[in-house]
Amino acid sequence: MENNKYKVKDEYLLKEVAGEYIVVPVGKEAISFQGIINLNETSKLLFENLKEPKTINDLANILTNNYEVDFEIAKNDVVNFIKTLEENNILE
Amino acid sequence: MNKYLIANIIIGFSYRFNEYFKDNIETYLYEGDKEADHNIIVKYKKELEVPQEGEYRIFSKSLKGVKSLMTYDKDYKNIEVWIDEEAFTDLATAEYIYTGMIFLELAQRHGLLPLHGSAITYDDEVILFSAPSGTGKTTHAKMWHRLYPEHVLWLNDDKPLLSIEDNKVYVYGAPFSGKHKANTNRKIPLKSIVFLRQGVTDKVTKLKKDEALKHLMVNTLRPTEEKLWDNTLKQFDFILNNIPIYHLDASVSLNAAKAVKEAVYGK
Repeated sequence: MENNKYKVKDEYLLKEVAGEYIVVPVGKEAISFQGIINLNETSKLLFENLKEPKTINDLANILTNNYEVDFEIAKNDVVNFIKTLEENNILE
Repeated sequence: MNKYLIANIIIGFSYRFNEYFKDNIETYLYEGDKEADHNIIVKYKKELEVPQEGEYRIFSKSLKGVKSLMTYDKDYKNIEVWIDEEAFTDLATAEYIYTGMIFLELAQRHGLLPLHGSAITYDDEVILFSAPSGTGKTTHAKMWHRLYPEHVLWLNDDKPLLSIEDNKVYVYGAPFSGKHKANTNRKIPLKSIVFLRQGVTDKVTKLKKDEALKHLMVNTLRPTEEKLWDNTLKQFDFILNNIPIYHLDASVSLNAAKAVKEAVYGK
């Protein structure tokens, strides 16, 4: 997992509605993915950065650069987020 | 082919079965001079072939082949719905469902928001009861008819169309009104949306924005293109900020309607 680069599929778009961030599918993905994803500030930052290929460490560093958080904790958050995205087939 | 004016969209529409449309679609007849925005023609054949050229979308397939499909040109101006007449036991319903689906997509492209529900008017304002199929929206709407007959008219019983115009939310009727053919060709201001769940308490709660948003998402036609998502989300934003949205734990007694009336009107 460490050296893999991750990237979200182009068909998943970050949008804002009623003061919240959500992710919605378009195109082919709109037919297979019937949900929406709610993002908080942290996951929004990760999602935006996953528009280009990133490793787990890249993303953990982005978190530590933006928030007062331990690298290990940040990495843990990143891994959990990546797992969720993977489970829902949102990554390339 | 007749033209119909539905929610400000002119549709040329040619269909075969009267079951869902008779005593219903006539109020939408358009006899003016403007050209149709879209033409929808339903055609029947035994054994459909996948088109070799042009845009098309397959609606339904079986092991034997394609059961139904549509062909369309630029901007969906001319749409042909092809149905394999031997592949369905109930052709009238198949015709209604496919043409209804197409119409809703067209409505969405025209900036309207289809919301799954039963819309009634109470003193010329719309209350929209929304929930997945089978929950009991129609049952609940009928209670209002029973309790307040002089105040209540039935607007649309399947997918009423919402539109934001002049900073207000309006609801349009459409002839794709579900099993009960009960609807009116008018545009009326929206008063409130009530999301129902089958229950016993008749408790009515005002929903917070994030909860209301989830319900709206589940009960709307999901956009498949970015521009359509942007429109839909903008509409959700406006609705969430301007329309009171409630949740009802609905029993089958008339008390359910009374509970909602009290929440919405304070009496």
